[in-house]
This record gives sequence, structure tokens and C-alpha cells, in this order.
Amino acid sequence: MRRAYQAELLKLRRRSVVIAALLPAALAVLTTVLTFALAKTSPTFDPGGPNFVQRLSALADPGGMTQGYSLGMSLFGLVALIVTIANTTSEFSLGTLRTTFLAQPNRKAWLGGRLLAIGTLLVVAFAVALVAAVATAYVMAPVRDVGTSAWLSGSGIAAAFGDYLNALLGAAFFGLLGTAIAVVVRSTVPALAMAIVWTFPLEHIIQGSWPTATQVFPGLLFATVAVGGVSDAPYVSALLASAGYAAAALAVAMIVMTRRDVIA
Amino acid sequence: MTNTAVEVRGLSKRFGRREAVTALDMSIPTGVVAGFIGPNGAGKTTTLRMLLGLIRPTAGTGTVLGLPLSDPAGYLPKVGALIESPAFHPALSGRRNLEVLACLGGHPRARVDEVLGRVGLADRGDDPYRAYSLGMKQRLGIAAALLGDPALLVLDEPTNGLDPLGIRDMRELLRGLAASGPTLLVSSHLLAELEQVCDWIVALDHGRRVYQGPAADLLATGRSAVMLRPEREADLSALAGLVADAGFETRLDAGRLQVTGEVHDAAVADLNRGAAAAGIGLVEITPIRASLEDRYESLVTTKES
Repeated sequence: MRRAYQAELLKLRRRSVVIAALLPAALAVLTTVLTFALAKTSPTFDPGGPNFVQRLSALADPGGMTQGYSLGMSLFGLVALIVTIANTTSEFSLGTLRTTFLAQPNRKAWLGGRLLAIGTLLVVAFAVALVAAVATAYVMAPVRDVGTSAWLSGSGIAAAFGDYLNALLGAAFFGLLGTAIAVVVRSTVPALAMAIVWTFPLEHIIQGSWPTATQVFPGLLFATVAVGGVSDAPYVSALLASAGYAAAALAVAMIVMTRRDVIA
Repeated sequence: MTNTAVEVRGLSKRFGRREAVTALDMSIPTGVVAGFIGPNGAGKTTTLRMLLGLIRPTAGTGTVLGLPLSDPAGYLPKVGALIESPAFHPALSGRRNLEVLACLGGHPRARVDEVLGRVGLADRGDDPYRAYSLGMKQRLGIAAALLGDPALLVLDEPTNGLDPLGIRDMRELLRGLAASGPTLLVSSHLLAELEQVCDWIVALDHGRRVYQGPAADLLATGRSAVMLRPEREADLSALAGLVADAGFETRLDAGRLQVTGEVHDAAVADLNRGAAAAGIGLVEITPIRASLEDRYESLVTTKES
């Protein structure tokens, strides 16, 4: 698996990937600016959960520094899903999978190494995004007259780290789901259509009339983990259910990848 | 070290209701350049994919470099392969693509430069793969196959899509590779190309083996014609009578006599002795060898009839 991991990192070491890895940072800056700009001054305003429109005074809380970051990274789940599907199905469509398996016949090791490499990229990209979001928050705080003293307290740092970890977990879960769908379907367009239509419009339509869907459907659960829990789905139960889905997705991807003939 | 690079028994592969390869028995000695011939759809690529662990046989057993077919991870480090068209990441350079494969296969990074040089891509290694011509892509595919310094090199249709000059270059490359030691298994439906480089032939038709053995034996069997030229043109009709008496068909061809049929070496010697006994001096005895294409066609026709 070590060789597969290093080989995948080698593939990722190029300018276009570096630029793509900066997208979370750009998104984090944008959502942090929006969070500060749109915050309501009314002390009785209730945002009703994770929302871009927050109560201004809440931004001075220990977790205020990374409010925008958390919201921005939760949107990144869709990107993680699309990127992993497109990236994995391209290995089938380009025929590079057969070249790869001739060099590394242990398919489980290859898939494991590849997922670890993508995970490494996410860890770095989300950390850069966190730094960018924190810097932006410090720039925006005086503009809206928000106190920053609580941000670097112990609970402030813990909240920031928690937001980072949740964002990372949410994206990783979406990435694992995307990998499994790609390995099973193999073709980019049907895989993307299936994944996007189900995890976004359909799940949200069902959620509109059946709130329990938030505790059941993978896309909603992963998004819930990314924002640290919502009123319809407590964080711990969402995390456990998401981990179950992710483990199942990984198992399916491993089994199918190992057993299926490579005819592309 | 085994004397057989590849040995399979009863190898079969079924895709749904279609049987691509049927009970194939095949043996390829170590050190030969083996041509794996047959038309498109004969089952060549499916067989190669089974040998390389890319697809699982429906039935059959075998060994590659002495290790069982069920253990591709055991033998693939000593096997290099180019299956169908070369497949690399278009955005990466040729060199980076090879570095990725070297890393995956656990080969030293220094091998990348060696193999790029060997296939004549040393100056173009840093160009993106998408900018390569078809011939360069094929060469990069062969470079990738050479990364592990293989004992067995499997090349599937290496001349696919190449222009005549590219085909000639590829032929030279194959000759160079053959001279350097590994067993070569080259699949192609371009039989004229294989005829020039192979010393062992395995022929398939509709998923079944129709021939296996030395290329020379296949080409020698059923020689299609011998051209005889008597010292004096006036002896042509007497020579034709003598040949006809021996049971062969003849045809006059610009002062020479073309003898057709299954004209083996012994029969040619008999004709020569018979002509001498009749006082006819022969100044030319030229065998017109059947091409691999002719022989393959004959094998398939015989099997069908």
C-alpha cells in the first residue's frame, strides 16, 4: 500500500492539482466574508441551525472564528463526491487501470493507497483553508466590531479544530461514497448522474416531508457531520451512521475492484 | 529457471453466453520470440489478459515463469506487458507516467531514464503524454513494459495504428528486444510483421488453438511452389513431363517451370535427380515459400473442412 500511496502522491504533484487544492481556501474565505457581512445585529435573531446568516454577537463566541469555514467546507462535500467519481471512472475510461494493475497486481493495496493519497490532499487543502478562514475572520472582525478575545481561548481552539475535523470527515465520507459508486458503475456520466441526483435533490426533497431522512440518508448524514450536527440529527449518531455508510462503501469498492475483470 | 515461460491447460473464458477462449492448451518455451496470431476476435487479447491476471479464467490451469496462474502477484514483477493500446495519464509527462509505474512496481527511479533511452524517447520524456504521436505512445507503452527488466515481455498488437515507418521502427525495436534476452510473446493480426520476427507460433481461431510450434516448421509445411529453370529452354517441355509424372502440377513462367502442390524438400531432391538422369541440367531451383498468412489460412480452412 505504501508504494501505491507514493505513486498516487506523485500523480497529484502537478500545478493543476495545487490550484484545485486551493479551491477550499478560496471557498472558506468567501463564506467567512459572507458570514460576517450578513450577520444580524438583533440580539434575538435565531439562525435556526448552521446558516450563513448568524447573530452578530454569536461570532464573538469561541467558535465564531470558524463559523464561515464550517459552512463553506460543508458545501465541499458535493465537490468531493464529483471529483472522486470523475477521477476514479477516468481510470477505467482511459484504460490506465490495466497499466496500473500490471505494475501493482494487489488491487486492494492500490485502492487503499489511492484513498490515503486523496485523504492526504484533503488534509492539506482543508488545513490551508482553515488558515485562510481564520485570517479572513481576523480581517472581518473589526469591520463588524466583533470581539476576538474568545477565539484563541482553549475552547476557541478546540472549536476550530473540531470544525476542521468535521469538515474533513464529511468530505472523506463523500469521497468514499463517490469511489464506491465509481468502481461499481465505471462510467463517468451515469455514475455522476446517479450520485448527484440521489444525494442532493432527491434526499432533500424527501427530507422536506420526512425530517427523519436526515438520520438515515448518506448525503444528509455526511453533511450533518460536516457542520457538527443539526437539530434533526445529533452529531454522534450522525457520525456513527456515516461511519457505517463509509465502511460499507469501502467494502463494496474493495470487493468489486478485486473480483471484477479488467476489460477496459 | 523453468524451460517454459508460459504453460496453460484447458484455459477457457466465457463472457455471458459467449465463449471467448475455449479449452486452450499452450506452451511457450523460454527465450523464444513467440507470435500469437489470429484474426480480430480470435481470443488473443482475452488469453493475454488471463495470463496477466487482469481477467479471471472460467476454467483451466497454467503457469507463467513457473508460478501458477492464480498467483499473478508472484510472477507479474518479472513480466512486462503492453495490452491493446498504451494507456497513460494524458496530463502527465511520459517520464512522470513511468515514474508513477516504477514507484508502483517498486523499480528504481533510474530505470525510467534507461527505458526512455532504449525506446528512443529520451528527448521527449518531459512532454505531456497527450502531445505524443501514436508511435511515441506505443514506444512509451513498451518502455513501461521494460521497467522491471522482465523475463517475459507480452506485447499485444504493438504495431496497431502505426504508419509504415512506425511499423518498421517497431519491428527493429522488437528485434533489439528479442536479442537482449527476454521471452517475447507478441500478439498481432498483421501476420506479415510477425513472420519477420517470430521463431515460435501459437495460432488461434474462434478461441481455439489451431497450431503451436516452431515458426519454421509451420512455414516449411505445405510449401506452395518451387521454380525450376533448365539450362536449355528447349528442355522445358521434357522437364514439365517429368514433373507431371511425379504427380505435381506445373505452369510455364517466362522460361521457368513453376511446380505447385505439397512440394517438400525430399520431392525437390527427387525432381533434381530425375532431371539429371534425363540429361536436363537445372540452373535454378527456387522454393517459393508460403507466407505465415497463407499457412494460417490453410490451417483455419483445414480445420473448418
